[in-house]
Amino acid sequence: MTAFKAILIHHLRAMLREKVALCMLLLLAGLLMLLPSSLRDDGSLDGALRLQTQYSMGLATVLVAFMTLWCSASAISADVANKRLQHILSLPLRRSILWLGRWTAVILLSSTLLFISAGVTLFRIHRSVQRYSSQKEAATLLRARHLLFPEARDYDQLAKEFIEIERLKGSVPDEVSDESLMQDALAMAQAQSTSVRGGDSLDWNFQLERPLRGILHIEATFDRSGISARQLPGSWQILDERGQERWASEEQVSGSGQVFIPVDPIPADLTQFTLRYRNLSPDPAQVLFFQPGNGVRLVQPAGSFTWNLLRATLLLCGLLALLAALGMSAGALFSLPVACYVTAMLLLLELASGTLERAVSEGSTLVGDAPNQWVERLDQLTIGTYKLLLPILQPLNIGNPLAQVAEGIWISNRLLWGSLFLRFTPLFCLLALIGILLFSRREVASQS
Amino acid sequence: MSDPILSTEDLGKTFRDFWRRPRARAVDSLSLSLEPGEVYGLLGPNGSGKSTSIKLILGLLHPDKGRIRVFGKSPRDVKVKHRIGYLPEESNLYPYLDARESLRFTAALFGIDPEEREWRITQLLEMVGLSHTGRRRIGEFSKGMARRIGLAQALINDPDLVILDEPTSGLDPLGTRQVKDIIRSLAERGKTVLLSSHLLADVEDVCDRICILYGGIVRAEGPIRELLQVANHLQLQLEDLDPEKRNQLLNLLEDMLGKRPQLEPSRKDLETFFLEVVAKAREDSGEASGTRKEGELAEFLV
Amino acid sequence: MKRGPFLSITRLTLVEIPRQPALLLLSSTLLLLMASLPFLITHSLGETGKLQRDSNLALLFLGSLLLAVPAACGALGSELRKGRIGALLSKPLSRSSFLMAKFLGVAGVLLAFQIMAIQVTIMSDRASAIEFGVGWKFIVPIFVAALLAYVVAALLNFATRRPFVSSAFWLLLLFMSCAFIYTLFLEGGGDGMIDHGGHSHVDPAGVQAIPVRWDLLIAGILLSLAALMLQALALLCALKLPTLPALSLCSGFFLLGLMSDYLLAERAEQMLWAKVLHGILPNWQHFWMADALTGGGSIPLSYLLPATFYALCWAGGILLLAMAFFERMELQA
Repeated sequence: MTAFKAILIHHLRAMLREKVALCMLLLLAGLLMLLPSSLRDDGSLDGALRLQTQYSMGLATVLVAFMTLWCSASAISADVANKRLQHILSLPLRRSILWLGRWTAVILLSSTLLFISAGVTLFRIHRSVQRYSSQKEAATLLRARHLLFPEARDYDQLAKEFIEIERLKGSVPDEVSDESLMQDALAMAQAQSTSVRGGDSLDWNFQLERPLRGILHIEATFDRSGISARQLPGSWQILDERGQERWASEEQVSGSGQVFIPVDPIPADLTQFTLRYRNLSPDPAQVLFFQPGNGVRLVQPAGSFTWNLLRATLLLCGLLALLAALGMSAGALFSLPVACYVTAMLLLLELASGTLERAVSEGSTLVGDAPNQWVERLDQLTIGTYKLLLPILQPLNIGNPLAQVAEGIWISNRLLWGSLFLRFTPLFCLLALIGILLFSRREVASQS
Repeated sequence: MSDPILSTEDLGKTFRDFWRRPRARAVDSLSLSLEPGEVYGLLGPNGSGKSTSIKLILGLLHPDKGRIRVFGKSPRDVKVKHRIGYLPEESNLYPYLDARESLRFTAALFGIDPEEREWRITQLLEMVGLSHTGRRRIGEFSKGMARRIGLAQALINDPDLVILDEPTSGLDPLGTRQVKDIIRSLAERGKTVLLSSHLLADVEDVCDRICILYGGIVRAEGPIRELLQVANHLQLQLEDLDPEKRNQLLNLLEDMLGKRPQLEPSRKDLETFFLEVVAKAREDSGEASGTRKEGELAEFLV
Repeated sequence: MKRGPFLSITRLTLVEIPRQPALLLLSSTLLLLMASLPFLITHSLGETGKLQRDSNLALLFLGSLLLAVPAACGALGSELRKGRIGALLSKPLSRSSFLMAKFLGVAGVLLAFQIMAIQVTIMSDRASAIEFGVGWKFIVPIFVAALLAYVVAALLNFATRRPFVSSAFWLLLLFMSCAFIYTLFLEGGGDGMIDHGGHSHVDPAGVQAIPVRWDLLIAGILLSLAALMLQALALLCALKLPTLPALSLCSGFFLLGLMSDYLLAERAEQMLWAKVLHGILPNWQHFWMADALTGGGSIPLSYLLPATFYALCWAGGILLLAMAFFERMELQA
């Protein structure tokens, strides 16, 4: 433990004494203080909040990430280059302790800088609150919301049921196969699941981990058929498992857009329920179309903006810890510039993981057909490589926490702690194991 | 007879290029053994394999063939390193630390208690003559001063085996003398010293046994007295002989031997003369800046 | 200024910098990425050509920045920090000459990368000129050139022990140039529609000639001039700063230069400090002509002259500053 502590403290001091940390601090200060003043927002508190969170804090995260990359890659490779490592390894010090001690020092520095950036961002946001509109608006915007989504519909099953109904009606000849009708049937199923004619109703089923409590809103995003100045009457109901109504409210909608309907009083102790919208218009042609995917969701206040930003920062620190482990492993094997290159390439690959996922799902990287078998083989080889990389990259895909915070969406416990412990920790252990193993086998004394 | 502190059997190391072709044979069939309490010199010209041998002994390089045992164990065993002190050929210390901080860091890696640590550091700094440096950073030290700190680091853990790679490199004659005195004192206290150098005069003064490497192969090995004996040559030293008695002696020897022997005044070596001049100058004018006369060997080095 | 030592330092820099593995890795990655864009850009709704051109030119510019700083720090900074400078300046060579020689050496290596990048941009542009398809015959030579460069460098290393990394870099330049010349003699790209800077048409004959867009050469030269300015700045930074702080500073200048008009143009009309800063900061928008190529536009040759003058003056000013700084520096031998 003494050796670990000595390595940790020493390496922290080494990084602080080098111009790297000073330079990074100056850049961060410049970025966080000057950038918001230079860029113009839309004049609203919401705009200011997004600017500070997504741009200032986002760029600060990128800067700290690059610093982490550099410091981790140089932690061992620099000492190999200047032959200092020969002396250190002649001491009774396990290479694993050296690796872990320096990794801890890098991540401590990076996390500190990231939390300082978050602190400065919060300070500027609270100043913006004073400058912009009312305290009431500030109170709304500076709270994060927890979103509850309904159960996903099984469109394949709905499509099959639809085909069966049409066959029973006699509209589909027997010789036409189900497969050939599937695409159209799926489109019909999706359309029917998100629209409600006059006189009809539409249900969304919810299954929650914890019972409803506190404040609740229904957030609905929709479009109307036709153009009409008249308001469309409708009602919302919450039905429990036995179909009994636990809450109801009638609403009039006009045009298209988004509504927030407070659920008050909230039906307590419900974990499984159905949310029903009934289109009370007598005219079946008056159809309401809800946005596919997130047309209807329940919104609960979850916590303060400050706390949400800090949770996002913690999540980002987890990513930086992985980046540092990657850099350390690369630095244990390669020279500093090559280690930086390898780490940066893997980082960019991670950022492109969405593209890789898409390519794998489409089965090809090509636009159009391959002109010959060689290109086709190359394409298949590329897809194969992507498939190998995806299991490593997918755990790192946590979306954009800062965008979530900017939109006021709560970073859920599942996302935060699940990512940190169930995704990042195993990956870190793997990286650390590989890095330490490679480092242990490496001959650090070059030919003199 | 006790077990050797360090032994190598048929040790070999060849550096290879990317294609695994041999590029340089650094060490070949090296077999040596160090007994407790002796000072063993590893000699050879530049590129003869001295530093490579030391790095193999310390586990920094993997041998291609042969076996190494240090205190009866593999050099890769971390526990073995608690009993070794190493001064590398190039003292690449952290330039932004001062002397105390540097020693403190090394001591912490050995797990030495803070109180004991400070006591040892104070003694070592006095021993190597750097107790006056204060908060000066190592990056500002001269090469000789950096070498002294390196030596202090090598002794902080009171090692049983001290490995010194070119310990007198960059030191002035005074410093060189002091390092040699330290090495002798260490040996007197039962430490084993492995000394690698291409400065023959230094090795001759302190080593009990030597090994001469060339091209990675042992060319000569054994006790220094035996190796340096010249067959059929005797040396006679006389003091305060007046001219008359000198002539009588020469005539007597001429009668006995059949030829007149050569008689020349004894010569000091340059190092001894230099040290005498410096000592006198010190007496006359006081301390010089930079280095000062070191104290005795640190108490904890027993 | 004596020719002997000056040319020797320049030649040594040209030999030394390509030996850095990271330079080869980064150059290769950027070039292959530029070559891959035509078949990686999907769902661009007819904008493939524009996206590919803009991306390639952006990669050329960014790549020059990412290569210039480590090259300058490696060439100059390491000499200063390792103490080799004393031995060099003990020769009959003034400090200013030494600095200029280093600058020219770094510029030479970066010019090699920029030549390759412009060639790849032109070939890649021809490949993406076909809507809903890819002109493979323009892309494949790029990959073949890269593969050949690595293989031949490996063989040279095996047979003659020449350093693999520097051999691969210079062979990449050679083979890429050969690939480019080869593709100049190619005409057809396949069936379908052609995107001529946004105006698509179908060739009833089926196989049509895809012209070479020499405008991209001018666009590339302009960006190379901008990169020259960044190189000068990188050299100034390398006198005092290690690689990462130098890269951060140069990146900061890069970003400020991109936003120069947005940040300062308005304020420059009212405030003196903004006016001065607006004048000093390099304005990269003067060198970014990708938008001019959209819609069938072109870049007039006459634009090159004032752009070159601006770039040389700015870079010259920075180099003079660096020389003045270097003359007064106390060096560790």
